[in-house]
Amino acid sequence: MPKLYILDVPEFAAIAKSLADQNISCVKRAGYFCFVSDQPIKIIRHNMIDATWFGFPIAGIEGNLVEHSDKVFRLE
Amino acid sequence: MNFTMSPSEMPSLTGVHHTAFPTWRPKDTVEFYRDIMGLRIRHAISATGWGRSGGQPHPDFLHFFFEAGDASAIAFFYYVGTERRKEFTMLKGYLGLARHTAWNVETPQELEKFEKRFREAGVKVTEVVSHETLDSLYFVDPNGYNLEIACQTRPIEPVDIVDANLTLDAMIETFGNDNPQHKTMADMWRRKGELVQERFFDTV
Repeated sequence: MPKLYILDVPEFAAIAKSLADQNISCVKRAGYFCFVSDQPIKIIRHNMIDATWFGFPIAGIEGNLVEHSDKVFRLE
Repeated sequence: MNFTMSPSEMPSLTGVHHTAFPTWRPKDTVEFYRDIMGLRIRHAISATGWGRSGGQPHPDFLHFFFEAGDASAIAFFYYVGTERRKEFTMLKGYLGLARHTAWNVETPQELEKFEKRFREAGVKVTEVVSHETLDSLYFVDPNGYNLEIACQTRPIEPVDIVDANLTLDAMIETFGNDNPQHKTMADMWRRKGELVQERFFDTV
């Protein structure tokens, strides 16, 4: 089951919202969101500067990072 | 590492006093930093005869300082009669750009004013570039040194500091020095995830 940790800061809020909108299970502790899914986690880029888009997994992942192109992030 | 000093005995820094660079264009350097950037000249010294008694010839030089705010300075050495060494000044590509000096401004308006001033003076300058927590303007001085003026777009919070420390732990554990196991960024993100999980999610 892939896990994606997202830091709860303004620049990554759109990522957290995108995951929440997909109804991916989430726990929040100590300033981190932990999103867990029994399916691959896929995020489509929308209006995000490079620094945010290519930097959001900084809080950590669990699983196989299959794609992180300039348009799609996919974790399995 | 075994230190004998207790945490309360640790010495502490109070900011950047100065960074220093060689220049072979002293006129352009003064005109750029004083007249275009508006930095006040703080101090200037000249010296002859350095090193002669020790057998290591040293050219005569001037060393001059410009105030860069908050007690910090940028300084230059002009070694009289020496030839320009481009390997010290014209740093190109991402590795060259990685070595730069960045100053702070308090507001986006100050950043815009610098951008306008540089454009009016014919200084090559980027548009404002947004990073996670910074907006930055990049430009190059007459020597070829890469410079930046940055404006913090949000305060750094305690969570940022905790996260940065965990990131560097993950970086050290993943890459060590020279990355002997050819690990990837995804490997580091996985280690970071383990550290965050252990620290904040396994403990409750």
